[in-house]
Amino acid sequence: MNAVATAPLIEVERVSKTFPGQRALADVSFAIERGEIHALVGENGSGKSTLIKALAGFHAPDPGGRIVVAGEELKDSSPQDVRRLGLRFVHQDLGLVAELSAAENVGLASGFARRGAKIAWGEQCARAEALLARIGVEIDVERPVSELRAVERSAIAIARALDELHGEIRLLVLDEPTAALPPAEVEALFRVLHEVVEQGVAILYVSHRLEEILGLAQRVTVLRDGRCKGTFPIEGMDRARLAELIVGEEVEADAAARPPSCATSELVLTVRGLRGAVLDGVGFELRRGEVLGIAGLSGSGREELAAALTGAAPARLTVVDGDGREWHGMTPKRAKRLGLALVLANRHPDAAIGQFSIRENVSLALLPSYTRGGRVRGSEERAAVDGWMESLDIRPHDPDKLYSYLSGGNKQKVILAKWLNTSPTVFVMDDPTSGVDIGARHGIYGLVREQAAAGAAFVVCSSDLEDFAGVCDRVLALVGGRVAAELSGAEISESRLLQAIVTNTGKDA
Amino acid sequence: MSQNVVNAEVPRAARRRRAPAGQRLARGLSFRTIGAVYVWLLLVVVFAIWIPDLFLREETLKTVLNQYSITALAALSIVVPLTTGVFDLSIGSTMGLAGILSAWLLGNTDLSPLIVVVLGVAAGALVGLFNALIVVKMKIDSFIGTLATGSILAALTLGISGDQILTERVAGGFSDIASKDVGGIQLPVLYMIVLMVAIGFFLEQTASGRYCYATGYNPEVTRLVGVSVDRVRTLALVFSGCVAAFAGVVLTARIQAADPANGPSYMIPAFSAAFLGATQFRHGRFNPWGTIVAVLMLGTGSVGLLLAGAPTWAPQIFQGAVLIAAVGVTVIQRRPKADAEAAPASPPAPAAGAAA
Repeated sequence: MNAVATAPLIEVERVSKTFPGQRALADVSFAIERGEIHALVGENGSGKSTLIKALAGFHAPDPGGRIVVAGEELKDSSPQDVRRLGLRFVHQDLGLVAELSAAENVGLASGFARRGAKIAWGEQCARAEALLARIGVEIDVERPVSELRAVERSAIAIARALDELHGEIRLLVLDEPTAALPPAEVEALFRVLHEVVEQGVAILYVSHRLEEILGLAQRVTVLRDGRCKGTFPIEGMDRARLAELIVGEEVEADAAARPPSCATSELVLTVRGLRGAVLDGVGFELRRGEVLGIAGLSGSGREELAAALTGAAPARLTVVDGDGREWHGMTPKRAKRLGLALVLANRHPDAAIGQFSIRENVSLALLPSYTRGGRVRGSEERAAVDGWMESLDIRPHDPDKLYSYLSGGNKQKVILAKWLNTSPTVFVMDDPTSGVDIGARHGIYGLVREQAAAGAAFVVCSSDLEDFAGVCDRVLALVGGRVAAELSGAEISESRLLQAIVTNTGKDA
Repeated sequence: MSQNVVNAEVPRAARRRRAPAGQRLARGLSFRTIGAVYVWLLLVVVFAIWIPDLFLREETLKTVLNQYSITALAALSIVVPLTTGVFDLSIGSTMGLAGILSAWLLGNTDLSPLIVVVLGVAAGALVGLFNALIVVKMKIDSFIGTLATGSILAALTLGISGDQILTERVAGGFSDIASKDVGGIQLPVLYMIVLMVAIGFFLEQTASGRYCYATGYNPEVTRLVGVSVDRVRTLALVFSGCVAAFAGVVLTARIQAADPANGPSYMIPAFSAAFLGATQFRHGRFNPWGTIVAVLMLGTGSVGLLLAGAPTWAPQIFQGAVLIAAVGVTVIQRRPKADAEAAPASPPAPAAGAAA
């Protein structure tokens, strides 16, 4: 009895997870104590999501590893079992139905209060209010949640997860809970989290934001390349040390491969006062042959920049083109005329047309130039597409294959080919390596360098810090919609970038 | 061979990587690709065995072609908007309005028949612009928007006709546009063939046609390559308005009377044929070839049933059942190999929401 009470709440013991061709987790062990806020950190691809999915019962760990919750082993790894053992998950997107009220959203998750066949709305509202009151939040539970503040929606998702209708709650796992929150509301969320801990529930807090972790958690577990680098007390930890733990030793070999500086070549684009939903006055200059990186956490404006710059998303900005002409505002048509090509991530729904073939996708942006007398010349179109398929090695080598049947890396190449075909002056890439395997990733890096050497300029926005070192001449770190730091040449390293993007404000950079 | 003048960076070694001709032919003739053609042939065989004396005659072919050419025009009118992801549910009412308007013009003015036809089609263009105002400009879902305009048009039609069947000056020179024979085939059949080929050329051989499909599948991708999606959809609606109006004028000329109740009954067969047609030839894309095959298949079955002495309501049951069966079989055929084969599992039935 005593042994159970003093044992950790959750023990992860030697957990590995192997996917075909890839080991996502290798021998991960750590423990979560009762009533603590335990942070889990690691770069994209370090195995965080796999670990969370293993905890949630979606992935069974490889034989040999086990997860023990309050002395009971998680055996068949089913979501029901996990629920019974008192683990609850709140994902980044919260899983709320925007058009429904808090009371309805609570009911969807844990059943409605009923009187016969009819929902007892009064009781249902009272139940939702009681759940919210437990974490010290008071909101109108009958309003559609889309009309509430972002932090109120987070609170509803958390309150809903803590509904004890199905047994005692032991651990709440929060995945990037502040990614979608305005900075001003983060404090409010922390107050809610402290209330949760007061109830005796432990929290596993997954975040990229080192400042938050340093201020909130008692201990932190670091994952790197699928391995656990240890669990450390927050006391005595600082940002630089944590960043170093996350990134590991730098690979310096990249510096040699860095392209020569192009600070002297002519300007092809100047951007001033770029403002959008989050972006708050970003500006930069871009020279011929230059590769400019844009780094930032989610919510920093980084996700928005590529679309805003090319007129795909509403934004205010002034651009000066290579000939010194000034343009206010941007539309896709103007972007095309200025030679700005938006290369979206292959996972983005608007990157390409799934029901179109490779050929139709690649030629879409340049159809008029294959047109003679009103008719698209199939032979010219095919010759151009075949050429790109050859030079980018797009597989399968069948231009009539539908885009939706391609792998992530090949999709990315098709998207690139579409814009390469238009010979733009500036490529604006958004997360070019997401969902792309390691081989294809290096292929994409090689392509960027090659095109830059040929004179094209690049703006590469990425959530993956690995993308910057060795590819970019300069990197802008965005924080809160502004440029917080600029790194160039040999300064561009993952740990310095990580430190630059996790600062709270742009002032101390 | 054409020189590649477009992009000097494209490597020369552009080898052909298309499937061998035999394989392509086999794929082209498979049930998955042209199921409706086989169903059509099966129907012909069934009726040929069942009622050989009545069915196996030249007149049967002519009856099917002549009677269903107007349905075909109606069906062709919606193919283009459907490719752009827009439903035009007002085509039936547009047919009715143009039919009544032409009869009214003939009876109340002394304009020549040709001018009357032109004015009828112009009315259809105005309807298309009005639909575009509602669907494209005001961003009302096309399913709802064109349903509403259809209702308004039906009311206008009734108003112009005074709830009467108009016949004055409709027979004679005007009716020639629908009843003149060219080599034993009536003019509407020729209109159908010309329009089918024209739409096919437009959708498959021109840049604008490609933009239509692109707009229907993903308007945002299309906008980002610098195409005005709004203009594509506006022109598509104007096109369907014009063609539907023309179909309505031809209908009036053909029956030598304008009945305000006539047009709307063409809407459902037209959509049936367009959707059934999308499962044919082009693997889920709306196309004129499949649409015409679908119309002819439905026509053959209906005419055959009537010849065989089936009750007058039988063709409608037949049409509904065939639509479900043909599309259903195609969907089931494609399901197990959906991953291996480059073919969507079902016609892309552009969600009504996509049109907003």
